[in-house]
Amino acid sequence: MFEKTFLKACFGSVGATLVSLISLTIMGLVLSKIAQWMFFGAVFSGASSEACRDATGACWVFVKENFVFFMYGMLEEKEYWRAQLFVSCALAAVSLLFFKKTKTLGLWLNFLGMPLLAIAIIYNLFSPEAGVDRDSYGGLFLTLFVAYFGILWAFPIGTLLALGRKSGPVVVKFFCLFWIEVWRGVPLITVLFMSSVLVPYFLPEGVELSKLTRAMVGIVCFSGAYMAEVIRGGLQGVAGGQREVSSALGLNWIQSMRYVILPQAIKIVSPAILNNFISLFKDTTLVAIIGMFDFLGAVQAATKNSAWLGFAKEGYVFAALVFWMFCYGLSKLSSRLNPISES
Amino acid sequence: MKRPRNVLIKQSILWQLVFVGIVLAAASFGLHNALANLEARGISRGFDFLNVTAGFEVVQTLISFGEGSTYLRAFFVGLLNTVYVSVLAIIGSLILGFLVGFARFFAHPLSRGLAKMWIGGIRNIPLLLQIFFIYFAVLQSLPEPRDSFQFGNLIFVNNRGVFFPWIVDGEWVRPVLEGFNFVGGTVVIPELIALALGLTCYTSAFIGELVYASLKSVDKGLWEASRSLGLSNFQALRLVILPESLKVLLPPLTNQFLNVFKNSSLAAAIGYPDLVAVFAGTVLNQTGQAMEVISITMMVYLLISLLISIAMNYFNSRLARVRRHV
Repeated sequence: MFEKTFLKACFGSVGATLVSLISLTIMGLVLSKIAQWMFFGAVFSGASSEACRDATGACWVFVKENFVFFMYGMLEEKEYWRAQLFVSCALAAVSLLFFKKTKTLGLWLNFLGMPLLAIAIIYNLFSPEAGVDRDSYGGLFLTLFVAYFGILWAFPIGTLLALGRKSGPVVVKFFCLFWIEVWRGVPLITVLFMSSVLVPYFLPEGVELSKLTRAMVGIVCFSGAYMAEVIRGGLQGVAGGQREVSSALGLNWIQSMRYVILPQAIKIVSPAILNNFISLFKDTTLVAIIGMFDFLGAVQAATKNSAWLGFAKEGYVFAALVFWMFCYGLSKLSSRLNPISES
Repeated sequence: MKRPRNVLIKQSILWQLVFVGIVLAAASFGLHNALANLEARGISRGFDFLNVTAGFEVVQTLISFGEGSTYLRAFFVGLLNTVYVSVLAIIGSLILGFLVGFARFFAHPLSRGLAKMWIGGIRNIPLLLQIFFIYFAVLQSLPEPRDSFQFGNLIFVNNRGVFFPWIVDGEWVRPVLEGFNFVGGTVVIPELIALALGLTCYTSAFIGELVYASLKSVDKGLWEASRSLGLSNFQALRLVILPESLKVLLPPLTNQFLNVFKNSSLAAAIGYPDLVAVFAGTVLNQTGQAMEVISITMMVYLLISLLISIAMNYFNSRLARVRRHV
């Protein structure tokens, strides 16, 4: 706001000097504590909690020894390839969406290919005899898996809900409004409780869904409602008259939405969609409460392991760093997508 | 080619009827299954269980809750605890959030950097992780009651909470160590501290960003105008900029309040006795009446969310009206 040099801004007046001193004290205290704990007093080598007996700082051996558990949960070592293959394919499929030429292919892969892949290698429905315990998936893989499908299926559901709320006939409009507001009005944790406790009751006898599937159903409904509001914002942002122009060009309602309105709407709100994804990614940690070993759940379980008692701090700090890297990276991407924030 | 209007209407009504039919069919299919399943498992239906004696204890109650209390009373105990922690966290996050927002706004590189670090750091870490960290890594590693940190033999801090003197029957009673724990006085349980602190920190980062954005949204000309009227920077901020920025700030702030209220349900993860932990947790496990319990819980959250947004909309519209008259 005022053009000043750095030093003048920091120590130019009594008030500024005071603020500087307070800030510097806070920074100095916090940073030196963190540096001492994380690096200088920390133990990096060893194989058991014995190695950290005399440590004055963090015991990173805990993280090192539990690393595969944090990544894959209880999955057996010979089944790691399933998780690795799936995550690489998902990464590839998602990155296709960012290039104009491969967008259509990317959409097909994400919405048709990846669910099939999930059924084939994660759920392992085609060759059940080569059994992998579906409840053994966990760790960061589970977090990514849930977040990926959660945001993916939120798109079609959210789009339908938004269109229904904006321009459906009365009954549909009311239904969409009700549906959106209910999911947005309740906390995710009650949704997860509902999907883990109530959903089994509503299924016919003999049909059973795994815990993972039930949680996914709840998360998709939840994130679909939030996505609906984001997309509705985009629909409102599309210039008026676009619909009239497209019908003058002879497009019917579905075509005009498909080729004219929705592409613009989604482009406008793409930063908001990414932000939505960041929230969802953070919210997937809640599946730990219904007893699933996602990344946070795995860390939590490891800190309760009697061989590694007393290293909760290390576990949580590691988890926080990983989550921070993901979310901060995505939020940077989102602000790069935002044409307003560039100026 | 334009179709006659009545054909269009008829067609639209037909489609709506089909839609209603599908929704009803799905709902009745689910309900039919649910009834059959409940029957098969011998779970009773209806809301009579609310009048049954609960027979469990709750670690923090704002209203009396004893052995003879019913499940209905347990519900209110949970609800009040939810409201209690939400209000604490809202007040805390407003204070901290405004502090962060101002620090980010001021043309002071260090305070700005600090605020930016806070916002960028806290916002990108899941709330549940922060609560776990405060609860399991910090509060649980405090000393046992007998080795408490103490302040003047009045306030004791240990892994069972913060104990301090309180009025019982008209006189101050000091907490005293008896056996493994303190008796007398009153205690703030660690679950409450962890939840309130976690919610406060997390929300303060969001509120800080909102405050900063709202201050920035005020036209620069207003600063110059206030200066030319002879107001100091502080006066300009207090009398002109802040009231003006509130208009922009209020609607998104409402959202943050709603988020705090909903996020307080993370209590269930660390065992703070809120609505979800007490009602959708303990009561559900004891009675098995999942349908009733979960629908009541969700309805309550919906209702209160609705109330908060109505209240804030009213407040907001009043603010807007006042401003127009000026």
